[in-house]
Amino acid sequence: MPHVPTDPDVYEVFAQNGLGKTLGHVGSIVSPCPDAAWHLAKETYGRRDDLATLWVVRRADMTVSGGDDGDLLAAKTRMPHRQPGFPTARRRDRSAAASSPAAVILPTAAVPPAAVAPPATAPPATAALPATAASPATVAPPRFRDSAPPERRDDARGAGGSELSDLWLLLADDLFVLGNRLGERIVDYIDLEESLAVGSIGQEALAHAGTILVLSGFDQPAADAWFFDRPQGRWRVSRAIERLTDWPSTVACGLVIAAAVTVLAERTVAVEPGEGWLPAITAVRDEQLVHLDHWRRWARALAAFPETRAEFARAYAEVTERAGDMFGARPQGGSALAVTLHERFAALVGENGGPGSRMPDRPLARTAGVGGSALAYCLSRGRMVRDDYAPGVFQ
Amino acid sequence: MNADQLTDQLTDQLTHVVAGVRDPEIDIGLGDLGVLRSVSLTGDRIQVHLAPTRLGCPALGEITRRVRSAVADAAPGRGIEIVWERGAWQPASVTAAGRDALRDAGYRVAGAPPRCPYCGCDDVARAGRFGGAVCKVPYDCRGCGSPFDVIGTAGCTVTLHSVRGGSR
Repeated sequence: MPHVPTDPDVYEVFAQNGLGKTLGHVGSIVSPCPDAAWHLAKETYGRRDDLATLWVVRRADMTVSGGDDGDLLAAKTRMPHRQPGFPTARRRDRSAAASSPAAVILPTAAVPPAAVAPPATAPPATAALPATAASPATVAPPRFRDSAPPERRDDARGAGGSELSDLWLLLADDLFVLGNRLGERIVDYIDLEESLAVGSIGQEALAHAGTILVLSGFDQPAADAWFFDRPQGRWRVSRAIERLTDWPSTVACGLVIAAAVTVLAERTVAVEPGEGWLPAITAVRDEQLVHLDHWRRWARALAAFPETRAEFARAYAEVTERAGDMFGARPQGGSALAVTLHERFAALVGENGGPGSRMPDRPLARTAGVGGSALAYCLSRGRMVRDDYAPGVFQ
Repeated sequence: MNADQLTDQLTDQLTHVVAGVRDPEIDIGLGDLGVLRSVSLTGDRIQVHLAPTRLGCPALGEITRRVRSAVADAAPGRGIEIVWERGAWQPASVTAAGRDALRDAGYRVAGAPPRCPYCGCDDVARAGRFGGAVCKVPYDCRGCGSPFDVIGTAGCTVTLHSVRGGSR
């Protein structure tokens, strides 16, 4: 057990040989009093080198470990909650507990699809939007039409600019849903580092979605209307969004969305490098690269850990297959620009997510009415929060 | 003093006022932090350009409120427009005085090999990839054991220098 030594005349010496060096234990000395101990330590350990710091501590003033304290001193890196499989295992345990007749703890996972029915105003799921439907003026619900139509910047983006703009707005929707879903997970971990990561990535995903709208000419009321008043049936999120449910799928979704935004930012910067919005797009790209690296680490960990390997492989395959519509802004799907972006996107996902991707060879068209419970829950929660605030806070 | 000179004088005065507005999280002026980009005066309209340290900074609303309040106090009756220049902030935007203030508060600025703000030791290790705020990355000093943050890490892979020991 940790104990206080009984050697009254023994002093432990810590020294730092320079400001750039580590302060470390250098040895022990025997002295009858603290003053003499300090001078003796200086002479003994500082005779040849200049010292930046010298600490001399009486051993009897310390609490030290004993020879049988191995268990107490063992690293905590093997704690269950720090293992890659912990979130999955905990969700599974919670679900099992919730379905048990004796369960008394309600699950905190996502609300089941039946509990978050799409808004009554949503058109049939099969309703597809025309290519120009990404324009706010044609999609906007009544409240949006009441505000001044935003100035779009398509004309300033050169060849292919309009399609790039549509793609940006579509990815803004994906980022918005991802950010909201990650926000629900901030308190879902007892691992502080992962909570910070999920919170930061979610916060930045929302900020990037908002930045894209600002760059597209939306003012704040128009941006709010775009995200909160648009009926769910008019959203054209990627089909990958439907898999924003369990943790392995969330990792895969985070990875493909970060990769897609990175690819589109790289393309945008290359097309019009001199535009005034370049700093913002560059910042989005740089920050998404950090997110991509985070998801890459998770993907590798989940793929390597025996308890999560099979589950992640399934999730990764399904999410990458669905993410084939990430650059399908146009109903026909396969413009030259879309094909180029898709190829780069597929390569980047493979580089970061590892083998097992089922990304289609060519981009698939996005359709309205997808997004499932992930989108429905995100929208209903956002509207509920806004409705609970005092009038005038958001409008 | 003609009209142009009066405008210049008021602009300088307003620039000084806005530069002195404190950041909501760290006790440092927006001028030294590099968040203030410019102040311009056209007729009765004042335009303040600011740059967030990171796109997802949650303090934009509070900074906007503080700047608007300070400008309104200094030049009552004029229109005020706050323009956020997204992506314009860089670690180099922090002034020398700002770096000193940040160091005193326990921070370092990205863009140079990080040193412990407390003991000056360069034997530091990144303690994680995400800090308590989106603009911060946590570090630990191996010299004195102090934790500290490096701020201004938009694109950590781009502006953060690698350090001995890497990250954990």
